[in-house]
Amino acid sequence: MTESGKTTGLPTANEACNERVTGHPLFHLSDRELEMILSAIDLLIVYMDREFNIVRVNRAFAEADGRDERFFSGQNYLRLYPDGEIEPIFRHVVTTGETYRVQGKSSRYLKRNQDRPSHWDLALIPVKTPREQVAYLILTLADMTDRVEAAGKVDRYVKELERSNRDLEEFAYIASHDLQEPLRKIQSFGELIRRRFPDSLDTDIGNYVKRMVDSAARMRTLIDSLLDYSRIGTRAKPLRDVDLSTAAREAISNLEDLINRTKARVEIDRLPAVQADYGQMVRLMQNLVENGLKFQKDGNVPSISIKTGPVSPPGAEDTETPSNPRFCEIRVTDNGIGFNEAHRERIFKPFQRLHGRDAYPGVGIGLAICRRIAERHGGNITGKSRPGTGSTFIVRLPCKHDSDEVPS
Amino acid sequence: MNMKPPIAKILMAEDDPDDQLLIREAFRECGMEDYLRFVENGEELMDYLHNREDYADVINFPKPVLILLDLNMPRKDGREALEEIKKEAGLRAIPVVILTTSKSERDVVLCYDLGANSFITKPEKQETLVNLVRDLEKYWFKIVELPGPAEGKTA
Repeated sequence: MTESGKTTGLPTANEACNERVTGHPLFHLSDRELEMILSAIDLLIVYMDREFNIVRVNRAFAEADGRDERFFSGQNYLRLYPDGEIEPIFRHVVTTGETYRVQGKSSRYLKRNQDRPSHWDLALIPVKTPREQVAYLILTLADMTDRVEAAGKVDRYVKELERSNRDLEEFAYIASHDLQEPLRKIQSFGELIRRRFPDSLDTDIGNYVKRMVDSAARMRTLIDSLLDYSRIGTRAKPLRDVDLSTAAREAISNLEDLINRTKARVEIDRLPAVQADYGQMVRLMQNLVENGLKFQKDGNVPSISIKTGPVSPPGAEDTETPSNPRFCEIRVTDNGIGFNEAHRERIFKPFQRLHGRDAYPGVGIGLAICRRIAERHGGNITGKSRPGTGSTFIVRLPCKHDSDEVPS
Repeated sequence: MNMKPPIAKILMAEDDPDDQLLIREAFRECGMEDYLRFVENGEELMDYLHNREDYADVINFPKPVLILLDLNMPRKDGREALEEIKKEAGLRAIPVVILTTSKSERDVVLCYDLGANSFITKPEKQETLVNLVRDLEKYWFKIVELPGPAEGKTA
């Protein structure tokens, strides 16, 4: 290959540019060294005159075309590779003397034996005479096929995700309207029976109708809860800076009635700021505090604290990725009835309850929603408790990204 | 089939037979059953108002004093019917009360834009529905003054 290099009489870059770069040993390249570089690199290089007659190509180009390097000398580039888009670009560079770059251009000539279209970042660099006239052109082509394909794949995944989110929304709409409708009617006709036949109230009929109506009402609550749960993902807002103290205070104020009624004590520490969906953070804390208020022995005055735990460094048990190396911790502690840690996983699943409906109200969606919110933010939630001693729920959320703090 | 002259003053377009029954029951409880008549969709409503097709008999199908309109119905929905009614000189004066399960803000705005006189979300409880019927009667037949009934009018 060095043979062909010599026979073409390739002018050195320095001759053509008439600009001798000095001062650094790397720029004093012998022809041999230049040849080594040209044949070793993966970048495709074509050297041609201003009429686009090829002077020579490098190894990578010849291989991409599937021909011997010696074939190209004297061939006209535009006749060899006719392309309506490329031709005007070539002429433009000759006229203006300015380098031209194109990104991700597909080629039907290069690497045509592979079973996928190839994509190239292309640069056409004019080499000028001392009088600023374009004498030669250097064409470089970098293979971007993998990158373009990867981007296309991501694009397809994103589209697919958007589609499935749309489907979910549609499902949610159907659930909220079409499924609720028959339930509303069961309730209405049940009520009608009781209105029209008031004497039936104390009979078996009245009892059965009441149970039917109550079940329908419960079904509606379940559907509403399920919708709520599914919307954590689909109705999500973009993440922004959220001061968790503010979110906690809003959660408390939403629970004002219940707090007053139970005479509960709620204490909020100074909490950190995170990147989050504000409404969902309020929801998360509200659910945890509400649980603390609700799951109490009769007569016990609830006492709840929201504190921040230590910022945890990366650890083996953590699920974080290198880009999310630190978590901050929010601990919500109550003095309620607690739970057996054997059920620790169960309590975070939708509609799982540890107690009878008569003992404590609710459908069992609160903690499931908490987990979904934490996970959507790249975090997690766990609970610690012993029955009778209250419980602590620990929410871990990725810290706000402080680029200067993140170890690389 | 009906010997005595009709006193149907309220015409409701409602496609759902269950809702028809619940609404009729509420009217019955208020002693207003005879005031109410149903059509099944917007197309039938327009036929009724124009005394066309099955409703050609002007004596038996006089123009109503008040229209109750559901929004989501087959063939011609409530929105389309409302638009037609409010565009037509001979019908425009009849008050139209939207009675629907829709709570969408868009429907509320649209309906008032098209000239609806009230927009009411269907109550979920029968008791509330009964009270609503009482309120409607009080408001439209006792409080407000409406243009004289169109009963003498011939097409």
